[in-house]
Amino acid sequence: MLKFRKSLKNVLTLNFILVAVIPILVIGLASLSLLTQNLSSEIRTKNLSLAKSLSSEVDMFLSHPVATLKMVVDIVDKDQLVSQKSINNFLESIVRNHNLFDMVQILDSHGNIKFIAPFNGEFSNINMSHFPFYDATLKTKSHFWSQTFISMQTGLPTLTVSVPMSQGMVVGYLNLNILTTISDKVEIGQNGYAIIADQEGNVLSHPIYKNVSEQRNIKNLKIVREGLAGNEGTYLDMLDHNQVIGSISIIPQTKWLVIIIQKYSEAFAPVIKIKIMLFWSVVLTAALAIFIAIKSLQKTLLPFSYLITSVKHVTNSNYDAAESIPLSYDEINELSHSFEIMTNAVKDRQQSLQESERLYRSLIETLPYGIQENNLEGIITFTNPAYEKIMECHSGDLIGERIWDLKKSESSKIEQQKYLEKIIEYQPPPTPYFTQIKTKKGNIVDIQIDWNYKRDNDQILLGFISIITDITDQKILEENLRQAQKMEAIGTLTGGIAHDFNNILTAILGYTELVQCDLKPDSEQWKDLDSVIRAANRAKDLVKHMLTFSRKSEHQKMPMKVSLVMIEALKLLRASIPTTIEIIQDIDENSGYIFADPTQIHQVLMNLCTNASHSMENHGGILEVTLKVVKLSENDILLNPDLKPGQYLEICVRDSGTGISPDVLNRIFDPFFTTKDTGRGTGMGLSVVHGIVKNHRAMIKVDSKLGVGTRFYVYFKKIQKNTPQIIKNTSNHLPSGNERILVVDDEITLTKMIKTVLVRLGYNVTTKTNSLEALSLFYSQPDNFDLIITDQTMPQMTGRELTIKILACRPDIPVILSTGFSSTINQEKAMNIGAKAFFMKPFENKELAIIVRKVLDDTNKNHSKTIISSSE
Amino acid sequence: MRFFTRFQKKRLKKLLYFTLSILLIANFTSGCESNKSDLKIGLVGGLTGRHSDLGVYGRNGVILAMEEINKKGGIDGQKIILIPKDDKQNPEIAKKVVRELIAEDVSAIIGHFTSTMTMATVNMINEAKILMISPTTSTNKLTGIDDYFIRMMSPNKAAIKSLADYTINKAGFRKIVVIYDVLNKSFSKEWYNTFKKHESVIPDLSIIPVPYTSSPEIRFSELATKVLEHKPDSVLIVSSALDAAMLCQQLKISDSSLHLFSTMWAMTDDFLKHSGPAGEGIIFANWFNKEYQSEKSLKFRKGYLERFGRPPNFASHFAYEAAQVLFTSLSNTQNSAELKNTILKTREFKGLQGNIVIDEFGDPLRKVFLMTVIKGQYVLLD
Repeated sequence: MLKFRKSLKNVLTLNFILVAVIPILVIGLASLSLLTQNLSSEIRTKNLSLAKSLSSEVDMFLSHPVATLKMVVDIVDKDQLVSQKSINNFLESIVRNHNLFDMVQILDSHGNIKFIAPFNGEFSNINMSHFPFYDATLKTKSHFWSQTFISMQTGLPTLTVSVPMSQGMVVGYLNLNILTTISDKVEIGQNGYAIIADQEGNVLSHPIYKNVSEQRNIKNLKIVREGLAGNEGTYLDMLDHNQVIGSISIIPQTKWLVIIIQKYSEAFAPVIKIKIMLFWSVVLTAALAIFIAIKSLQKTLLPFSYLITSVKHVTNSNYDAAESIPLSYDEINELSHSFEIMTNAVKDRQQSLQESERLYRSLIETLPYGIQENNLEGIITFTNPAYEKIMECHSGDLIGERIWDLKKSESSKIEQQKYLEKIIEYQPPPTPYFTQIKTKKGNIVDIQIDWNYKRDNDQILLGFISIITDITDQKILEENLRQAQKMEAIGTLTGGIAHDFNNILTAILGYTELVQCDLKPDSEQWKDLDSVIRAANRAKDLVKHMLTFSRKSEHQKMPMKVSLVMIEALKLLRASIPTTIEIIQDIDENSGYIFADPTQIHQVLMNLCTNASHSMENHGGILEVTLKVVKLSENDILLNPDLKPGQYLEICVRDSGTGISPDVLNRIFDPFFTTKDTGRGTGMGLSVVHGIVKNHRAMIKVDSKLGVGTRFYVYFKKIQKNTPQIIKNTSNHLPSGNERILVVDDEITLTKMIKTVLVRLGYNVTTKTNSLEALSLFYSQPDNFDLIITDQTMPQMTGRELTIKILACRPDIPVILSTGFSSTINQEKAMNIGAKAFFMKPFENKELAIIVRKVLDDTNKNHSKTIISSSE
Repeated sequence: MRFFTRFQKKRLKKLLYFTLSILLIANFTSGCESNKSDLKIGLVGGLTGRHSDLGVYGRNGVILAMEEINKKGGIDGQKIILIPKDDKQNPEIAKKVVRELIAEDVSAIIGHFTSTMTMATVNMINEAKILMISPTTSTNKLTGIDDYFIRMMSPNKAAIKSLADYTINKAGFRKIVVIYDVLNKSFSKEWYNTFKKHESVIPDLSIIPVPYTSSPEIRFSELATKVLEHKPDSVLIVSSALDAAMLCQQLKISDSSLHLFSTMWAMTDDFLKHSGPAGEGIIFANWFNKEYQSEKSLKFRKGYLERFGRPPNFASHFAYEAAQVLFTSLSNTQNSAELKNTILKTREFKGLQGNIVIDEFGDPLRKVFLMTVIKGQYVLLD
């Protein structure tokens, strides 16, 4: 089915066609109808007249045989003008002269043939009473036309006319060819012809004789049926697959039918010609109309077509595809121009919008803050990646959920719901608030929510936009800061105590040793005093540990043996690590020295081992710690430009724990990065290790496999043997001398104790408890002293200032600085200001004796420098 | 960018074609009728001459069946077109017209109406593999052959046996003259031969042949004399209706007490008309019972009378049945070569006088009726 779209173009085109075609069609059809009607009427009338004329002619002809037979009856029967012997001859003359009959018979009252012409003895006395005409003639007592039948003599279709006699009847066998001769005279057009049929529709006459000889019956034709029904007229019918018009007339005498047949196409040829002409006129007119319509409309509608296409392109944001609209009428040109302006405006606007959209999206997606939109029902309508990260969910997982579903408890859910309702009702100014939420994975996260209202252009509230900040780390930092401040306070306190405590211990140790020196080593008193010394040393260690714990200890790099630190650290670890973890140690005690801060190296080991133990605490395992000397090549240190190839000590800490996931492996040294549960770790352990390693220009490597375990390797540069050695005098004999020594310490107990020790060793000792007084004394007699021993922490003037001033006065005089505890001085600083030695309190007398002697000896050796440490 | 897009052009073309089609149809369909899908059926029989009663009446039976089916829309919408051909009872003409029908690519041929004509063309239709259904061919020579020939009448055998039983065994006639038309010897000679065979069984039986060749010049009075010279107690006339009628007339003129018998060949209205009172009492053997009262049979007779103005004869009857069997089978297949198998496979068809059962060789099994003439009408013999 053809669908018609109601577009302007279709409508206009159709209108054009209709305007052009309809008048032609109407006029043509009207003319055709009129013409057809008239012509048809004329043809019908003409053919019917012809049929009637032929019918009359046949009727007239048929009266001849009847009249002839009646004459025979009159002559033979009524008047008996012919003798019985001559009847046959008489009949023969009838047949011969009238040329109407094939045969004439006279039947007797039984129907037997009495006379026959042409004579044939075969038929004498043959009984004809079973022929329908016999009874019919007797019955009607009038002449009777029979149906056709096959003639015994000729074998051809024949019909008879019989006329009754007083006894029997005379029967004439009509020659049907005579009828054909009559009908053949008819001329109708080129192919028209006439048919004569009997009352049963059997063909009696036909231009094609076969139809007669084969006894064709044409009762199937409508024309014939109409005729047999007594309806004369002209009818349309189909005959031998052709449409024909047939005019039918009834022969009055026999009721036979005379039919004039003419092919419809022939009869109505003029009408058909007009029809064809009309058809082509309409077709050509329609074609012309379409052509004109197309051409006319092209100019009008073409710009619209372009415009429609361009609008579609613009609708699809395909601005570049929009074609330039061809010129047309002014109004349309103006419309086209306006459209182009509009297109450019839309294009610019959309580009800005897209830019803005891109920026907005980029911002939203890269912001470290979670962004969430929800409607008035509390349903989440938008989330950004940061939000999804906080919520530990996939993109879009929470869209459609209600904001209170994220709350960790039922009560807080209800509370949130009511809160939202109140906000919607009162719409207070938005204020940020802090809360806890449960992530998709079930973790509780501390968040800060900064929110605002989302409204449309009419300021109607649509929902809320919230910025979510994960403040869990911030909270941890705050906690750490608090802890650090606390530790700082403890450290300050410890530092303060340590100074005094070390002074006290120095005194205790000094005096005890003095007393002990006076006793026999195996005596009971000597042993008791030895116990005092050991207790004092333990106290000394205690102070040292306190300082280390509070990070107040001095981080001094020095040549140190890592093996010793490791052994000590492992002893401590064994006590703190679960017994399910087996510790295997393989420490090369001859691995040599590195230049490092022992405390920090200790911490490195502790942190690495503690970390390792945490990874095995659930199922136990093996913690293996090794130390060995390795040689690193250029390739080994490629990524560490600070390092140089050479011999290094390799500390390896291996565990058989869970291993580290590859995706977090590069983050393990980040401060506060931890994979442990909240509250289990600060995330500082490995960060501190990394800091220490870097500080020592060392290298750390990690190798881990999930489910197998982790290895940490730390490499420290091995130092040579000629590195300044710690001077240690293992001899029980204390070195002595006679030089002049000024001892300055604000602790009178200590000055006394030092003086006692040094005096016993032969030195000439002057003591001062006030640094200013000491300086004054020195200024007055600079050459009276060979050595200055000064405390650092003193009122009015520190040991450092005193040293500087003394050395300014007499640069060659050796100064030994000591301190119980000070944050302002260490060995390095002491050396920098010119001090010859530095030692920490408390010290043993032996240490003092050795350092003093050494310094004096070195001074005497033309100011050659020897770094002397009191540690160890 | 164009004024009309390709789609729009297509639409416009469609509109144009649609308009043109409507106008063309309106303009030209009134003048003619397409016959592309017509089904052509051939009909062959004696349509002219003294023996044309079977052919003409048979053709009319087929026309009636055709008009009925065409009125209902034809076979699967295809109209039946009948192409009638006159074999003029001449074997050579019969061959010629059958060749013409084969050339016209007819789906099947209905005919012939006499055995001799059928025997003349049966090989042609077998070669062309075109089905021929004969309404009235009854020669035994075509019995038991798997070919393209199918018939509506049973082979002669049963009819001859039936009539022979009656004449020889029941009526006890012992001197029987068989006068037969050599023109249709395939049919007529079988009658004589079969009767003749009885002589060997019944010693005093005498079967005397009087063959003749039918023609317009034949003198029946002389034939009658020839028959009567044998002083028969009965005469079997194996000829067409007109010949039989004239023989009856001539025989009865000489010996009104003579018992006459004849075959279905002569059992037409022409016999009744032309024989007059001389035909009274003659006995026929036929598969056609004119008095059969089934609804179908009555309807057929009524329809035939209305259409052709005369009552049907047995040839009309069997031709009508032949056409119906053919049309039924054509609705299953229009492949001429397959038609035969379709009919043999279907085997049983509804006929005007009960079901027609066709055996594997295309021969139906029908009941033989003995008919006689009383008061110018055929009646069933008790």
